[in-house]
Amino acid sequence: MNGMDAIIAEFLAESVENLDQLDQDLVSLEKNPSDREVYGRIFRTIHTIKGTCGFLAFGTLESVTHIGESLLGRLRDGEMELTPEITTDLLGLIDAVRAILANIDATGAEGDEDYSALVARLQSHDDSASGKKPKPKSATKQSKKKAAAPKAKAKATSTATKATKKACGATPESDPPPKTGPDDPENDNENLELTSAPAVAETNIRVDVRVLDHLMNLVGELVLARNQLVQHLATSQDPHLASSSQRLDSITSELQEAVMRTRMQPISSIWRKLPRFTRDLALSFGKEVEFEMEGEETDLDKSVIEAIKGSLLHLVRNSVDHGIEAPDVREAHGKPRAGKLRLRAHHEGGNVVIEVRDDGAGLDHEGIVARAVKAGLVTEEQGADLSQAAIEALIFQPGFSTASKVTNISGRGVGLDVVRTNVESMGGSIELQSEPGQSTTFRVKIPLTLAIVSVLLVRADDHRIAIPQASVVELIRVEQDGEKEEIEDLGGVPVYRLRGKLLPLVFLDRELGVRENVDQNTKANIIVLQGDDRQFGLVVTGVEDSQEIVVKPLGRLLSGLPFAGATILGDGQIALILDVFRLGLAAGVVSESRVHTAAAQISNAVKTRAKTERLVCLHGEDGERLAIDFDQVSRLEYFPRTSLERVGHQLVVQYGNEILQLIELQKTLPERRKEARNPSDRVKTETVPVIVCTVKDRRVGLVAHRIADIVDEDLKARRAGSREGVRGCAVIRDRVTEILDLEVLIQLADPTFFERTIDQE
Amino acid sequence: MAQQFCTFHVGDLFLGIEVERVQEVIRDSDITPVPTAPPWIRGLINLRGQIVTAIDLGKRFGKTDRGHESSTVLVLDAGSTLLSFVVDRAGDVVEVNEESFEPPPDTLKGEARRLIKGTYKLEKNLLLVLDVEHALEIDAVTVGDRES
Repeated sequence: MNGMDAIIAEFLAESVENLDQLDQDLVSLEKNPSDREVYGRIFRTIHTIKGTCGFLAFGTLESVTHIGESLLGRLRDGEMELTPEITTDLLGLIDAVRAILANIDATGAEGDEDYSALVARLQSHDDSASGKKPKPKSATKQSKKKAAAPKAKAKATSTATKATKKACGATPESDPPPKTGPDDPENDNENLELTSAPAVAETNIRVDVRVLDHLMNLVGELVLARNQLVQHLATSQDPHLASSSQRLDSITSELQEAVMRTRMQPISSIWRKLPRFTRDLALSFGKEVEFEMEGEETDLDKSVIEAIKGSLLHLVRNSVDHGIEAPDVREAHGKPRAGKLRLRAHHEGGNVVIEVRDDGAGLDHEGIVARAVKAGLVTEEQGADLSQAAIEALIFQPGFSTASKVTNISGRGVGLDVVRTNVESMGGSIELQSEPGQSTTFRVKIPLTLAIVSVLLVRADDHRIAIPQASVVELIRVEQDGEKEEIEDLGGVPVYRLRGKLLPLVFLDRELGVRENVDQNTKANIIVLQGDDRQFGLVVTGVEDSQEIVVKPLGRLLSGLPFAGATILGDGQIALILDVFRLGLAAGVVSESRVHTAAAQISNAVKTRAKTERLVCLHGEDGERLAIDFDQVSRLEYFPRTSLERVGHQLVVQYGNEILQLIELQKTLPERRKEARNPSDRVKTETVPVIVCTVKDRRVGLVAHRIADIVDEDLKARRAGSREGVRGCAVIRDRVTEILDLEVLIQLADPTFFERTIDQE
Repeated sequence: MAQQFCTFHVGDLFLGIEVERVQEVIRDSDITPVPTAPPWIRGLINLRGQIVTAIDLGKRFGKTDRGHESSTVLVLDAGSTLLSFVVDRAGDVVEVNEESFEPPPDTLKGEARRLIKGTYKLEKNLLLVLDVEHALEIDAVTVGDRES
């Protein structure tokens, strides 16, 4: 790179940065048009670009910025007032400058775009300020305070004419600057620079990301060397050495942290473009939008910021286009004319959550279904049956777009499906909340792949595994006292009773294949994890501590394993980061069809409308297969047969402090076969398995012959039940299984059961 | 210009990789095993803050039961990432004569044959040139596993 190239590169970088700020400034000016300071800032930026490009011999750029500068000078001095038209043209000017800069960056030349129309428009604003202002008829918006107007008029006109000439006819740069007078923008600027201190002190420098990466690696190496040194020094007797090493230790840690932070950027670096973007959108749709941002300081890794940019623009576009109603419509519904668009970002566990919320009409469910039917995504029949969630998931389908007209901003062939794909490719998720007539909120959740994540370190045998804190619900320490089995076996599935609910358990060491035999330990650590919408308990060998770690990706060779990445711990050792969802999937406690991506949701909802339900399977005394909703089951108990008592015609058992009413399935369910059963055929076991269920806050026990299994059942294969007390049949594990309807069953066994409930209360 | 090879031993094989592809050789590396990973992945190495997957070349060559486990690794730049091969013993860097090159010997069978690009006849022995791309190819590895 020669000297000139370096200057140009610097000029480009600086200008682009300043232009981003300008967008924001101009939009804020529209709200508060009297802020002279902002005008001054805009003026300075344009002036700087103009000055530099004159020096670098970029003629077109200079001519475009020149007229803008003149106009801005007037605005700053209050000679004219900002109107939306002027703002639009000024924004157009910034776009032109940007386009030229991009051309210079790419090709080294300005390109041959013709900006004369824009220049002419700017010129006419400039003219109207100087030329028509004295006439009382025209332009009520214009300021009247300028006493020196007649003088300014002549000067400004001559300046402007020159500028136009330059722009259209590419006058050589040697063209002498217009004669300066008190109102001339250039002269003004000099005054300005003399009198006012720089607005912001220079606190930032630009650094190549590769330099930062290199720095990060070096610090990593330093940490390792530090760790080794500290280890060796632990045996040393020298107190001076010990204190030096302690100091080195803490400084290194701080340095590591600081270097890591250098890669982080506040989300405002992309949000800065949004007010302008929203304004343009709102204008082109004929809507009024108030834009709000919250959490601009939320830090994200630079790479994540780059990746999420497009999606965010799209969501904003979507909200302005489809969410916020036209001003008249809003008024008719008793809402303020201007819609509110609100962006919010915050850290949540190991994720960054970005919300885009509008106070528009919410989702038009009927419209969505109609559109989906039209687009061939669902049949009319399917459409009529879709649940609310399924309808909302439809808008993320490829080929779906509710935009009935193509505008210059929407209709670029980008749908929400692309946003979803993008977010999911980053390992994130997108959710939608809609209140009809009130609001629509998109919630994008992205993991901080390179950022610092809080994890819980656990051990599985000798392996150290990190679990993202975001997935951890609670920790339980269980001590088996021998009298009562804390971890129980339910048809081969280990479960733990957590406050009356059965929590399926997964043994981490077994799941990872690091230890096959489970020793009958008297103590166990259970970590309750949130795997998608289902909780399960992870049994680990030991819990170490909670740490902030940096996630490093595992290469392609290790994809498909139940790990989300790896990290280097303080001692230089590597710990794998558990992918809770995939582990749950592998262990069978989270079912595949529940994969919580909108994609899977919708394809299930649309194609088969299948849903899975977790069922507890039991065997009746004749070997028939029955099942009951897992959610209704609160406990599984085994009572000695001798403890069952009869009170009247009801079978009961003492259970804690209460008397638990039991329902004998065999006696209650209507008999299908004509021939009478012979009870003596059955082997009487010593204990009776009882499924304790909770219905309407009352407990009841179902007496089963055997409790077999817990399964996740795909309910598409279900048929209607053929007898009372059965709400359907499904094929589970290749056997036709009847799914019990608990409430009907209770009614059958004891018609007064629920009435008595009321009596007691 | 004569080609230089970084040599190493895996079982009874004397192998080499073009020296410019090898970033470094680490003896006594600390390899963290990865549960549930395929057997030919020995684990992960912390290379100055970067996590590098270590591929067990012995297992890759189908030598399953080998008594001891080496911890010498060759770190390679594999395009966007670093990868490493666990070898039994690292040898010297040798210079070879282009004319001494020959295609893989017929005596090589199975997986080994696919992983060898050719051989250089050195004075005392034969140097087998490892086909790095092939050794990193996951599909081929899985197929190899199924065969063995």
